[in-house]
Amino acid sequence: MKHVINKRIITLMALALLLSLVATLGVSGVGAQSPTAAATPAATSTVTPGVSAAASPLATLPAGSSVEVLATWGSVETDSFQAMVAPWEQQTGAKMNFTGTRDLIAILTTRIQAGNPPDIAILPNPGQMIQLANAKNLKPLSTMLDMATINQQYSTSWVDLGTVNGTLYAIFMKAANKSMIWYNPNTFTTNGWQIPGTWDELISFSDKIVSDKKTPAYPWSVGVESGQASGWPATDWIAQIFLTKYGGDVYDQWVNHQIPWTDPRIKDAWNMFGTIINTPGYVPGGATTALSTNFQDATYLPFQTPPQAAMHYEGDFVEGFITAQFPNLVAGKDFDFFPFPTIVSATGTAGSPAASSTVTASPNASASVLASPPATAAATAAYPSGTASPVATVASQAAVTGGADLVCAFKDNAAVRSFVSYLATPEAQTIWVKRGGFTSLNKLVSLDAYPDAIAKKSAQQLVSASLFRFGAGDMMPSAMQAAWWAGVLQYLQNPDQLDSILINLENTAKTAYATTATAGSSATASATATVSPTSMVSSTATSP
Amino acid sequence: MEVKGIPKMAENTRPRPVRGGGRAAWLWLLPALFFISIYLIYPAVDTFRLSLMNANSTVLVGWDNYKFIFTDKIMQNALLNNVLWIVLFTLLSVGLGLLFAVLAGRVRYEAAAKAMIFIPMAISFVAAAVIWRFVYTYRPPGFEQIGLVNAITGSFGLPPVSWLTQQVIPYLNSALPAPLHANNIAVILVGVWMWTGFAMVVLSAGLKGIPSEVLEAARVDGANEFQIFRRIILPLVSPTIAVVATTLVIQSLKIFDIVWVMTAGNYGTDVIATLMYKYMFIYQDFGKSGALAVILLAAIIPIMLISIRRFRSQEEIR
Repeated sequence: MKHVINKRIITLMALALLLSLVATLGVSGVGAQSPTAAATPAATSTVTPGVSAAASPLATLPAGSSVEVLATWGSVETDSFQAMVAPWEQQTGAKMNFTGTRDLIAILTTRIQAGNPPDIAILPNPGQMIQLANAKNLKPLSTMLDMATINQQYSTSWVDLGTVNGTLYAIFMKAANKSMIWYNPNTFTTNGWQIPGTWDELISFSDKIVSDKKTPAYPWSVGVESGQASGWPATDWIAQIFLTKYGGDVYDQWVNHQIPWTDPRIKDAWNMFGTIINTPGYVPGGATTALSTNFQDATYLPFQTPPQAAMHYEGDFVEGFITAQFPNLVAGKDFDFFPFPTIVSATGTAGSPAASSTVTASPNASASVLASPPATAAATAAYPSGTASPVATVASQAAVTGGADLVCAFKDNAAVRSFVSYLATPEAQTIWVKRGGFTSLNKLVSLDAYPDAIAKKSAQQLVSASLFRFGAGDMMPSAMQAAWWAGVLQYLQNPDQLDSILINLENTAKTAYATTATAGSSATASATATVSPTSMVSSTATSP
Repeated sequence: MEVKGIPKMAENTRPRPVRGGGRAAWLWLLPALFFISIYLIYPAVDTFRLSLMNANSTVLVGWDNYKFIFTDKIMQNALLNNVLWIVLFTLLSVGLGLLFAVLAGRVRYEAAAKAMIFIPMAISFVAAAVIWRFVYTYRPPGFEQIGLVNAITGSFGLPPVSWLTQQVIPYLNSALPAPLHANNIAVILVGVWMWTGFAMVVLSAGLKGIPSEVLEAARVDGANEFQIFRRIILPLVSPTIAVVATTLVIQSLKIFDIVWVMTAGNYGTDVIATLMYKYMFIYQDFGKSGALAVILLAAIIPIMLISIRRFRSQEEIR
């Protein structure tokens, strides 16, 4: 009897086991098939171009329509994005489901592999977009949007930056400006300090602050601690110095690893940053403080009472930190920024090679802003153009590093088309611009929409910059970026080891760029192609 | 190694299974074996396979990843750091744990005293690391010190120390060779703070197991308290100490959370596990992170075997 029961149970268990095996196999089978299934519609989706593309983004959609959006945005940004999308939801009757995550790349990768991507993802940098486009995961926006409108409302450089192999895959919005030196206007007035315009002036001004021994007694506040990403504020410094001094072409070569890390120009940029950190008296506590101070805490020094440092270099997000920490301070009056100064290199003017390169690299770009007739009036009205003519410029090119979020589509349907078209409109973007923390790249968004003087000034600097590049780290393979972060920390600890640090980075680069090349086939090549015309030339080059 | 070892040991101690029941026994074992092979053996073998391949697992590179780990400066530094963790963390945790266990056993408010020491164990690693980041906070000289340690040392007129980034030993201004860096030790002390409670509780239980007649006899014979501790208590709790030490050695080999939250492995505080994470999720180099995982496993297995063997020999005594 006992034996019989045993046997029965055994048979049952064996059956259950078999079933579970089959189930696992079945699941993995589905998993294996779906990526290909997800990849193929790229070809089929192009069958119906232009039909709904021209339709108004606010036309009513079928009941129950929805789009799912994945982005890196947090609480405040999410609220603003919801507000931006609200009119679209009201008028189309569709719903937007928003997921904000800091872990966007990991989640996106997993979901793409599972054959279940979101409808829309808002990516933080173009490197990822290029990889996804090359892997045929993205749907072309050129068939979803009315390209005439896009070309009219966005400058060529931004359209080019969102284009891979001749197809538009991304719309840029929410640009970030990382070329700002924050200061306290009150202390400048009290001490009779002038805003420096060139790097040499910046250094002599810093020396003056040290010798003046007024309040604040230190010229600089620097903090590079940021948990696992520690070091990035220092890499921003180096990228900004490098771009300002050596121009866009060499910057692109650096970012794409066409020049080695041991290049004397790269070393020079590190050393110039080192001047700020290691000159005694420049940073309170020197490199030790910079290493152990959180990047957010470092922004407070010029604005606390009494102020502890005169200046702080960082991006436009600093405004959020300052207003949160010191709610009584008024933007533009109690805290303000001036653009990162120009750098005259010993071999000649830094500005002019950059300027000439922008002109030769993309002859149309310089003219396009003003050349597109319907936009001309609006563009000139919205953006007071730069004063310098590229040809005549001598070391007065304002180089801007920064970033922007990219709207990419993974599916192509009526709701997605309507949604992307809507996001690209100046009306939609003005909603967020007014709420703050958003710099629009749409030329029809009025500068008057910005909530305060600083946001307006930042937008103006960003849109009128003659030389714009994405932050160097964001354009490099992630392994390279992480190694660079670690490298600057090492440099801050031991500045005399710079040569060996750069040799190590060059070794990392050899493998990091090789990996990306094999993973994303021609990723590097196409990156080079799209990056070069990045330069935003909206200055009055030559009026037609 | 592990797979081979277990049945052999089973032969030694267990009675031989009744013949004829063999097939049924295997059937009973099947579900467990099935899950172990899916969740343990397959990943281990696959990790080893990946460790012999390049970053994106397309080309076989042989032992290159292992060569890299033992020649690269950052990797070597991480391995040395792990050695420091094993030595310092284990010695301090066990030593302090024993000290507290002995002392707490002699006071009336024993439970409260032990609870105080044990509380850090109940806090998550990440929370503990965050707390200690505040404790170690550094502000430049002349600024108000908001970190506890620097505030205390500052009140004695000592200059502030950047405990988590500084490698030179504070106040001496001289650097000791590789793993003996100030920031490494500062991070290890956080681990000690967390795990001393564990060592204390287990050792305290071991101490309670010592028959009181033995101690009384010693006292009657005129032994002083130190002699009692040295000649009686220590030998009698040594098996417990060995168990605790083994656990802590394994713990220090696997250490990740504390280092990750406090320094993220920067400033020369990387350990094997943080580098494994970095190579996996940041550098996306499956080969090197796989090799690190294999090395970590290889380092832990002998310790596990030793503790299993000791456990068995104790079982036999009983």
